[in-house]
Amino acid sequence: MQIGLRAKFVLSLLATTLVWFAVLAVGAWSASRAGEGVLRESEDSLRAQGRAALAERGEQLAALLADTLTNPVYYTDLLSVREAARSTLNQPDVDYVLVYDGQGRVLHDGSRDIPRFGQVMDDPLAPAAIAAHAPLLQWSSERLDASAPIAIGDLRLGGVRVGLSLARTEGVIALESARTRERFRQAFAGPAHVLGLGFLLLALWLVLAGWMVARGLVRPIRELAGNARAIERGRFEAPLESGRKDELGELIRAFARMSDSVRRHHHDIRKLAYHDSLTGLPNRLMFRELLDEAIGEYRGSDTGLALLFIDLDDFKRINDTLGHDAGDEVLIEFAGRFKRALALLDAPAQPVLARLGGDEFVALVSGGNGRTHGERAAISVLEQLKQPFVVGNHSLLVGASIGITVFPDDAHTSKLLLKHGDLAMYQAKQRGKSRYHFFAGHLTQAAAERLDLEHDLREALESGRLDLAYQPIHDLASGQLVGTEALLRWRHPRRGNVPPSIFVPIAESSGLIDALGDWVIERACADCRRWQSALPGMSVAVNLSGRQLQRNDLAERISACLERQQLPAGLLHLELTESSLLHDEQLAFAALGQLRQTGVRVWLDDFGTGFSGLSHLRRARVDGVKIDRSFITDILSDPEDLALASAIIAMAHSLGMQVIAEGVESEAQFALLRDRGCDLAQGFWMSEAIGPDELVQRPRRVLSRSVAALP
Amino acid sequence: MQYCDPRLDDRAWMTGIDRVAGAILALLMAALCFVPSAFAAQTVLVLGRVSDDPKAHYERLKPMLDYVVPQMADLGIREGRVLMARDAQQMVSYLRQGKVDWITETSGAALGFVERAGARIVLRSRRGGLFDYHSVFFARKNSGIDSLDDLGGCAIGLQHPMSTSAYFVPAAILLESGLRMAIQSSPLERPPPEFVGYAFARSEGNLVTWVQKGLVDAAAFSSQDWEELQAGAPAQAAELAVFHESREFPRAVELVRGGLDAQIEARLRQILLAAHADPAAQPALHAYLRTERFDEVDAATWTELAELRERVRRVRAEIE
Repeated sequence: MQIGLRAKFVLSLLATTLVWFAVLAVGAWSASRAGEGVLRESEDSLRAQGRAALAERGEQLAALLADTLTNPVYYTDLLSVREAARSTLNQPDVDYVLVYDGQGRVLHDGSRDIPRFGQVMDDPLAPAAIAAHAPLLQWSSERLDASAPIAIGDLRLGGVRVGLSLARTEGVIALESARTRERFRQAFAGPAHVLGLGFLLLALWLVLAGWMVARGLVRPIRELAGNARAIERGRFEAPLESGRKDELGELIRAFARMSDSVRRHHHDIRKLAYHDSLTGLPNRLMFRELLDEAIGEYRGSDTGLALLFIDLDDFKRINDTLGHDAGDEVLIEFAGRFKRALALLDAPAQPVLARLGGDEFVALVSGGNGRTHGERAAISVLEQLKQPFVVGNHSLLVGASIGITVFPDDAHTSKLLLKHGDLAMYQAKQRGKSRYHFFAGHLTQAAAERLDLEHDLREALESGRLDLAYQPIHDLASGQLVGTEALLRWRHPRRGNVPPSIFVPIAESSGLIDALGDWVIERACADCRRWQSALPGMSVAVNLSGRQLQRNDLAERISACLERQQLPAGLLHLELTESSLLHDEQLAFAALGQLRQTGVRVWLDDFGTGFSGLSHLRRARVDGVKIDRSFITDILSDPEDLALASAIIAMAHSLGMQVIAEGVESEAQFALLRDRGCDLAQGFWMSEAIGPDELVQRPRRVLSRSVAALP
Repeated sequence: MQYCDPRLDDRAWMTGIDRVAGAILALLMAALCFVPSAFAAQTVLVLGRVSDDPKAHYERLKPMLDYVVPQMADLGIREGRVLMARDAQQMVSYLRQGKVDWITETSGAALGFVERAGARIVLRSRRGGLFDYHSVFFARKNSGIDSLDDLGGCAIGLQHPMSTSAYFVPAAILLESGLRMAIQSSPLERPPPEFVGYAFARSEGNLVTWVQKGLVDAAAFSSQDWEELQAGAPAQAAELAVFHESREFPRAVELVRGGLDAQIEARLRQILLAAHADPAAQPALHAYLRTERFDEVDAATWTELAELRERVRRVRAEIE
């Protein structure tokens, strides 16, 4: 059992009182004992005095009687004897007077008829009295027997005995004791009253102290405890206040300050946990809670909720090209515009905004017709984006794709609602961006598949289920194996091999492309480094996506990778498509320049398929071009393709670039390209893509028998 | 019963006597001790006195007995006793029974014992320097009482009925002067004119006070008392005046009972007569009512006694 402070205090007061009472009781007891002792001593003293006085008196009385009685006894004058005896007997404490002769026979006892006359006294005190020749005092429990002989000269006539009662003395003692006791009592009565009053005051004080402690100490402490419990449960109630000047007041104020501090920290932490630090908007966590609440609230009602799932179009590019700070500025600005857009809405309830992460935002518009309100909100947001974002010296137009789902029409749970919102947003993006799209059930399949693939790709990358295959590249003139092109292979557990044409766009759109690209380069470099012992000078080519090129730290990352893998920069070839240069040419060419400075070789992939190939070629300053396979396929049969290929070869050579042909599937193609001066070739005829370890076991050289046959 | 005084065992006085003679003497002494016992068997000498305060008188008489008795050991007297009588009658009775051997008494009372009990006066005693004295009547000065004749209808204070000087003699004188005596229970009463009332005051001091304070008109006591008053309280005495004096009579006498052994009587006379010369007797004499010495009763004394006897007889006859 826990004993409360008040109980302890009251108990301690009680204990103090008891101790005090005990001390007083012991004091009173010892005083009373001392008093009893004094009384006893006083009684003893009184008794001794009384006895001494009685003895003296008895002695005198006996002597006087003996003297008085001498002559009457001598003459046996019984009348006179009686008179003397009577006068003595009349005294209040005289029990008896016995006059006796020399033989101890009673001569007179003061009575009229002397019934004992002539009888020898036989009481216990008699013999000594009879035998005595001098006055004698004998004490019994009840009286003093004073005797004196009666004699004339040496003539012994007899004696007289006087019995003096002790009762009178004892009575006097009792009376005196009673008086003394009364005096004691009176002497003690005053202090006893004072003590009684003291105890009464103490009892009152006890009650008062208990009340004061309860009021002044226990109650504030209990309030503090209650407040602390409320804070523990996360409820920051009105802080305690106290004007008290004492330690408790200080404690309460300190507690209030601490409570305030905890409240602020709690608020901050909560904000950190529930808010997006960049935009100040609620984060995914909070939004999920709010969404759950709203769903719970609106479940069963005829009004709906509309969820807007917003994704900024091409935001990745802003981050990659202008840096994250610029991206952050865009996000902050967008959040502001987003708020304004929704604030302008005439919605029954204030819409909830949140940033789910990256460039994904959501809004929850509640009340009324969900579909109508959602649409209005989407329009309003898109309206806000018509003004360009100014970031530094750049003025950017940022679009957004908005998916709208409606509760309870499209989904019944918050999770599903968010997913459908995401899908609808994806649909909007598919439809051409900067638009909104309502979630429609029939769209779900493709979009869901895409989402699944994205999810699976992420997982594959993280769990190492991706592989690189290498297609050998041979020198056309010597047939010597000089390099390889790294090709990404994804063996999906259910879908089997997924071609890069499917998953690369997904990686690009989901942002996975960065991690994927890094992984490929790292892996390719590592493999190439291993080959060097068996195949010195063996190069490896890696395809770069346009997104990767937009990263302003690309060159640094590649340098770091080369250093890590200890691979000479010249052995790493990067292949870029023409289209990847088209997003932001200036940026792309700058990136190319940086790459070339690191020493890696840069090739243009799929050369000939773009529209502005030549101008790019002039400005890009690449190491070589790869003739697109579409030219090679029909090179033997189509003179135009041959002419184009030959022209590309000639043009590249004239610019100091090398040329590689891909998709060489026959010996004839190989021979023709060799004859036309093409430098390198890859294709099924030489080898399909193989694993890294398999490569070193391959023949180092291919020989075309038909070469000689050609003119 | 012891026949011999223990002192007889003390053989100191036998020094020089040979053993055989001593033995014979011892036998003789034993015979001597035996013989008296065979006849009278008196071994105790009893000294008597009429007293209303035996306790006081005992102390006065006992030393004299203690002085006398040892000197009578050869007579078989081994012990002395004091026997007090309440009054004359009792003493007379004692005398008649032979319970008392020796009495000291004033002359008047002594004559009563002689008369009534056959006692014999053997010696006279001198006390206060006098063998004889007389009675004096006194009254307050200017009381109008100048003679016995003035006493008719008056109350007179006397001492007590055994007193010679303060009862027998004054009463006899008053009778002789023709007054009739009437006893009073209180001194304040007054008799008819032909009577003289009297009351006993018991002590000389009382008598003086009675007269002085007017309780009684006059009083009588011995001339010796008067002299003592004049010497002891002159102022008191000065207020008083003696208006009559009697003739001289013996102050005190020693008596023996009639049947007392002659040897014992003789020895007693011998011892007492010699006592005043014996220093060892002085304390006993002084205690013995301040007796100075004893003397033979001479002729003059016998004459006085004769006269006194007549007066006593008259008082007894007319008053008692």
